[in-house]
Amino acid sequence: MKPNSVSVYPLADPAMIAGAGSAILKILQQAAGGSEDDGELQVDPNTGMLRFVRPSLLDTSEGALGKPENAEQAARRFLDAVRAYSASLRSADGRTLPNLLPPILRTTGLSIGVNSAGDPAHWVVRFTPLISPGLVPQSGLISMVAGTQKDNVAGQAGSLPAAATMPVIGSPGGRVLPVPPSPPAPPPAPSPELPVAPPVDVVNAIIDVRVTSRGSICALTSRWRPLAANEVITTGLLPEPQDEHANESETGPVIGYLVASDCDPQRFLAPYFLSLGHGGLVSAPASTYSLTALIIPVGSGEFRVMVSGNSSGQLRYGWAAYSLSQPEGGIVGLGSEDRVHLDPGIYNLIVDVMDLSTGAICRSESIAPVYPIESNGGMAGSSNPEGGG
Amino acid sequence: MATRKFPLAGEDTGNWSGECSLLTGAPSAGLVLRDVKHDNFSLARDMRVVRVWIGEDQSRPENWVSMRLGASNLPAIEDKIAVDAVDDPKDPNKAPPLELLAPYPRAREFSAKFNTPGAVLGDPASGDSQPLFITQRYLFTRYSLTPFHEPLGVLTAARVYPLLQFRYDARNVKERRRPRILRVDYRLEFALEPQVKMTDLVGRSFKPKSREGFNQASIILDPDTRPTAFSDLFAAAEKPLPTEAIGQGLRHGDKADWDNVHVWGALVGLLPSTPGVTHGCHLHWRWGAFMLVPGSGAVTVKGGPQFGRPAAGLVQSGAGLVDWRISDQSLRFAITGDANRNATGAWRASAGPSERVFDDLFTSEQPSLIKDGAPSIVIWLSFTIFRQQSDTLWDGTVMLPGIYFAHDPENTPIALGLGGSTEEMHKPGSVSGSFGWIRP
Repeated sequence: MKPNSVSVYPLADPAMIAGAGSAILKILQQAAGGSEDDGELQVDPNTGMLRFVRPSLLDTSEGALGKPENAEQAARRFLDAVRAYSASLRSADGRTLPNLLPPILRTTGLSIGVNSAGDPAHWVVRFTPLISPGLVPQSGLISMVAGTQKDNVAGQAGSLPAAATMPVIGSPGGRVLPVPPSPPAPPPAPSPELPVAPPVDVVNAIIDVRVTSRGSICALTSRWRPLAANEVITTGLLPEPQDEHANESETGPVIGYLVASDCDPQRFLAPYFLSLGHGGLVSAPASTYSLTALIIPVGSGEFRVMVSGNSSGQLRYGWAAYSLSQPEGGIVGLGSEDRVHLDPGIYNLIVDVMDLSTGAICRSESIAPVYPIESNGGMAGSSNPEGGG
Repeated sequence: MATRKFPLAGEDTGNWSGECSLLTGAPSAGLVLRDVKHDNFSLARDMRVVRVWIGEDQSRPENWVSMRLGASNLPAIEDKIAVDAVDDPKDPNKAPPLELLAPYPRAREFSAKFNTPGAVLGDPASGDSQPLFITQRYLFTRYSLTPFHEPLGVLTAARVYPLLQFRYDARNVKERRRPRILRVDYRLEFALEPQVKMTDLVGRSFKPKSREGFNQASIILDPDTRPTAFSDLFAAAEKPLPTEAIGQGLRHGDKADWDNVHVWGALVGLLPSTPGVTHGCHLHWRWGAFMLVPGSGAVTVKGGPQFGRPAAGLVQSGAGLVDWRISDQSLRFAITGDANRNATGAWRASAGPSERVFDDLFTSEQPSLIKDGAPSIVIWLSFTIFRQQSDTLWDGTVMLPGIYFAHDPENTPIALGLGGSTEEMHKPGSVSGSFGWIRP
């Protein structure tokens, strides 16, 4: 029998991780067995993803590569050491630092890293995270305690600046979408004992550890978004979707978790029903934190967004666009209605959607042509134009 | 000459790294990228435009004018690499609008501008023709799943766009000499690391030699109708490409003989999945017509407008992915892997090689075997743009779809779910027998 509840994991505040960069660098250097001066760390301020490199080792070649299984063992020892060192660390204000690494890792493959001369220089041991959809394993995450979640979700919502913006990353000039502050989520009920479920895949999160032939760690690249320490939400499992691809799928829907692309905002590591087949991966929400959004044209220059995986609560939107033919005009905020209207032209249209009940957020982005398109492309218009950029 | 490594300290390049140089003087080559990596995974050793040709008559290449970016007949406007530059909208010679096919998240851009001192055809001071303005750009994007890079929507990748934008304004002037052909030749040298599955290596002795032939390539032609079986997903394929080859990618903006090239690093006998190539370089200039529209069946296609070409207010499925302003363009390509010729011989990057007849650069030699791998694979792209009307503004962007680079393991839920084939594919041809340069 399948459980009727599933776990959702709040993500750590990337700003807090970035703020703890010095401490994290020391952890990584210590775990890699290097000195204090050996190693550079980059923490993505929007996702908390880590990139650690020891340049002195990355480009050199220490001779023939060793056995791949030895490289894997060295990589796992390094990652275990990182977990152990970080478990006892706290931030300056006494908060427990987030879990920097996933609780479980599966070795997915290896690559051969070459140096600048093109010679084999090190192994790249590649891991895919796994996570429990039920009770969290003993690595440090525990069941939620009543009242704790409210504080943390409120803390995350309250971390929006007073100007009420959601960061929109990765396009020219930087982007922010004007969105009013969201109220804190209501406290969830205390969780009962949950059955232990086998761990499942976390999709789109790869962790690479580069290991020299002598077993030294020369780099860590993590596309994992760290989880908030000691937090998990237990929530109802949505019904399985009707499987339209039953004839093509080699497996029925399974539960997996998705990490958003590097540029997209995300607050929860949430579950989805995943169907595998010759179309790749088809996903459907498995909880009311598994928000998805899709921009759809409805005609006459109007665009709306189709949302699924949300609770029955209120949704909040933030739209923005820039003209593809006149990008020097910058990004224009287009308001917070559930729809937007554009004048003729061709645009890059973006919408962020937030579920105010849960705090879950997701993004959809699309090329939006509005016909007739003049040769100079036109400019974006809106029923609620706002400045932005 | 200007050179800068990237990223600089504190610079956000979306985890791309390498070196960007503006090569002027001798040998000039314009803006060049070297040692390009993403997340420390190697993509390219060298990327550059080797030549720009311009002429009046397609049938008379002997009369075409040859230009190298940064040379005296096409000098750089300033000896500086611009970063994330935006043209002044009031600049009468600004680059044409850059309308990429999808909003891939931009990270960083390097650019430089060039212009002929005067008339591009005839004496510069003659006024027989107008000047030619060129903006050369390398645009990098972040690693992302969306917008989809391919119609199945399963690959996470980052993109690099080696763009060339040109502007030739003949409005309200008398042209005594009218350029009708503009040709842009690229040399893109890829060198990727191989990846393997743990299960394939445990228990085997493995000692890779230095400079081992780690790189292989494939060329593929997509079908235009939705396949009824997954095995029919390709109308033609050579994977791995057995020998160096020359092929036709587009004819006057439309389908020709091949639609894409892939390069990957692999050990002999272990091929990446197709479709898939979750760790490899992808270069597509056309997608099969059915891939524009979402649909399910033997193959579930998520589709998207980025897999067709904007045309008169619509998106044209199955058309070449070219700038609609210059949709009448053809693409011819060559793939070489001979280590000596690519590195120190006639095809070396520093020579900026290009011939009036594209094939002539290669066909004086026998094509080398590259089936079992090469230290690097060079893809040569020759875009020929045909001018439709005189007395107009002739402008556009070359290499619009760019290149996308995925570096995820093969053994992930998405890749496994896709169920691509790791077998060789030689369809409709056969590996046996001798091959000349021209494929098919």
